[in-house]
Amino acid sequence: MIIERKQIAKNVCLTKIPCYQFKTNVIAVYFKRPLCREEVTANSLIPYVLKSGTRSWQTETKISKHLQELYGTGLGVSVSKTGEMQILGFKLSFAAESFLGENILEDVISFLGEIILQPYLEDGVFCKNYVNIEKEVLKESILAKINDKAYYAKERCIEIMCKNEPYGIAEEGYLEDLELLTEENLYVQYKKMISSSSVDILLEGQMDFEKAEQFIQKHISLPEGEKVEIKEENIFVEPSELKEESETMDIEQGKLVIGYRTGRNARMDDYYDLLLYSIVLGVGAQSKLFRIVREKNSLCYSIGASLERLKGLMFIQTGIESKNKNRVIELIGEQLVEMKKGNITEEELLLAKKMAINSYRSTKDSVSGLCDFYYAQGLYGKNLTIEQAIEKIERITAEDLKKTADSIIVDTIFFLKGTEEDHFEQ
Amino acid sequence: MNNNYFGEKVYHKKLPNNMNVFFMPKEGFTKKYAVFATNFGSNDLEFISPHTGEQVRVNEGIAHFLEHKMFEQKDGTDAFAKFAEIGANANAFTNFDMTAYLFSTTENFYEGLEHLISYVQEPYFTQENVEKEKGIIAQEIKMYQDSPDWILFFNTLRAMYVEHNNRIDIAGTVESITEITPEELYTCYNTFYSPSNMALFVIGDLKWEEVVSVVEKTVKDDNRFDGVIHRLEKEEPNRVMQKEIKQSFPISIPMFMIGFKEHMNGEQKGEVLMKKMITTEIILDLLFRKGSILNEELYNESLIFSPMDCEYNGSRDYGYTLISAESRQVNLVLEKITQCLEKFKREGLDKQDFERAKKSRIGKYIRSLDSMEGIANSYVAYQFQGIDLMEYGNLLFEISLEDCQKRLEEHFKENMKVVSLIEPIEG
Repeated sequence: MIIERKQIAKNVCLTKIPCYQFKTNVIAVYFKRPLCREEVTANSLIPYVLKSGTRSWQTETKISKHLQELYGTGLGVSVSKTGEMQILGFKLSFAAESFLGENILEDVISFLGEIILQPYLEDGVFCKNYVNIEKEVLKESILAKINDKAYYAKERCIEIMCKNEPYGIAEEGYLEDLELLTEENLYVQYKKMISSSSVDILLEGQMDFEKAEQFIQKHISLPEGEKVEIKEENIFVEPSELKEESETMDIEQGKLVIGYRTGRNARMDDYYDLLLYSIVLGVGAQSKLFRIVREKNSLCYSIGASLERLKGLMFIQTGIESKNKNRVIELIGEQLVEMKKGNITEEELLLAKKMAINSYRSTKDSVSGLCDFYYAQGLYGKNLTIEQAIEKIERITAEDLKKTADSIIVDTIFFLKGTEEDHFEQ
Repeated sequence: MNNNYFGEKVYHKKLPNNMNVFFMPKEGFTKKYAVFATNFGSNDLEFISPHTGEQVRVNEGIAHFLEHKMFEQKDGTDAFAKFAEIGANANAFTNFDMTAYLFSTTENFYEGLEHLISYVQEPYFTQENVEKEKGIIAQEIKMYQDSPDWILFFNTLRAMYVEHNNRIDIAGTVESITEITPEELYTCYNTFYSPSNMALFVIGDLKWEEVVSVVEKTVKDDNRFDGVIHRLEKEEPNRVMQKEIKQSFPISIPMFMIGFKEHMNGEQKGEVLMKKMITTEIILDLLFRKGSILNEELYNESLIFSPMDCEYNGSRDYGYTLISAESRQVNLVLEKITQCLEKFKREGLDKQDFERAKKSRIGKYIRSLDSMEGIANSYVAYQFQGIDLMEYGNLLFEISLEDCQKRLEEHFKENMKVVSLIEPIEG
């Protein structure tokens, strides 16, 4: 598999990922914006207004029917926070033409071009009705954060932890900013987005890549403006003191989230040390946390460590009985001390490596995983292949993990307390 | 290419011990995946032992509990350890009808396959290891109880079913699992984990002959029997338990789920069941999903904020359609759904929309063939229902507009409908 990456316009980079095992093809377009309060809410809304109607397919129902005609081609729009960037994504998945007996490649690419560049307009701006509908949808989505209790607890932890940093900005934006958005000012922001963002286009699967590139030049030709500056994340923030907060909710189980600063991120060469550190500590059934907190002490069902790869944060999350909170925090703390002391067996290190390597290799068999991997490499400024990432992992020693442990500092503990004990008292 | 198999082929062998082995070659893929499953789920609570002829009743949540305990090994380690050692990724799940043990790996596949078959065939339950698990599963049950989607779904089942074990949570309750003993686990194990009641599905860039040879040398014949396990179920009446069920929970917006319960005439399986599934899904496409008139109307009036979730679940002895969404005006949405069903029953489904839905389903089915886990898990689940998943393409082509129209009239009936609601309370 040879990955080709090239500049095809002033702000646009095209990545071609040919692979022959899949029956699915993918084309994805990503716009990169700085994560900032001024833009965040508008950016969260734009992709959803765009998927509401285009010049040729004026309503969402017409769009859906068109996609059904293209053999159930899937359209996904997304807005996500990665490090201190906001990424707006448009992705189409479609069946490989060899199974259809029909050519749909140009139709698919021109449709994606329409979604991005030819929105349905009224009086030269977005359709007021569509903007209002999508504002309601985003409003409900922001309010719905409390519905998924574990997600809510993590969001609260991040909010407290990064209060004065761009990363603390809410992924979907803010209700008070949403109210101020109109079809006019949103359209202005949209124009800015398509002309000043750095853009990645990825093509994956089995198709005529030469033709696909021509179709992209023809149908997804973006205006060439001055590229917006995106600052790299500051990952060396020293917490002045441990921040601890909790909230109570009428739920059955307490949700505990602990946030750490790690002092390194995916832009750095020793990022894979951190990745392995997190696996030994808290990923999978062989991890220290699973073995101690769940298997030895029966205190939880799920416990795990996860990384924010660009901001260099680590989170440990678990669901527990509220009365066991202090005990669980103590046990987690003990395991971090173990890591710091370098009490990592050869076996632990080896198993963590095997897990990471298997996971990277498996990426090759996932249509979306492969596309996401290569996009992420671009974001990190690394451009590693899967094999190169694996080589880096293989070289890591227990000493490297001990060194990693030294820069890991606990920052915030957030606890969403359940009311389960109260039930027992009744 | 044969018929509508889109370049895929499944090999099958029934071993002398009655176990079914399946294999799908996937050239060019790095990963290999295997799932070893027993036709034993949370619904199986009462049965006649095929070995002793005795009638047995077990505690709620036992299939799931057994799944957890299968990982316990005689030497004190757990089965995950060996998988980790060879760099494989392992897991297991339990649903209403089956329990499945699975792993995937990019290296040492046959070592993993031997381990998968061996550990699932070597139970080790002790007083101590059973007790230890109760605290962990209690936390798992509570985790689900904090999920509004889970509450909404189980309340729907409780409203639909009068006697059927679908009423009971897959993991049981904190109370029911405390009653579980090692003896009870062994009784279930000896009955349901017999090769006669199990199937293995392997997928990856491998050779069929090699797969068979590894399976044959590893698999045991313990507990084999001929025929099928007789499951004892109270007869489920063709009516619903209650029309409506409500609960309050800390959420931001009211949620609803409508359930249409299948009218049963004895057991359903094989092609008959699969046709029910496909026709129902097409109806859901045409009436409620993205691209439908109702979806557009509800969305444009901000009565819903994302397309309604729709699905049909069918099995040997039950079936139901679920339609759910969040809304600030639940009653109005419910009314519009009822009107929509009446309108299409009266005026008929549109031929052009029907053809387009079929075309779309074919493309989506082709794409689904890229997910190894997806195919393997579905294939086994369908196989337990007497369905060959590979026939999906052929059956889809056969289905006519009239089939769907008939299904619409027969399945979506007011008297078999229930509504589950969750109303927000302040945290």
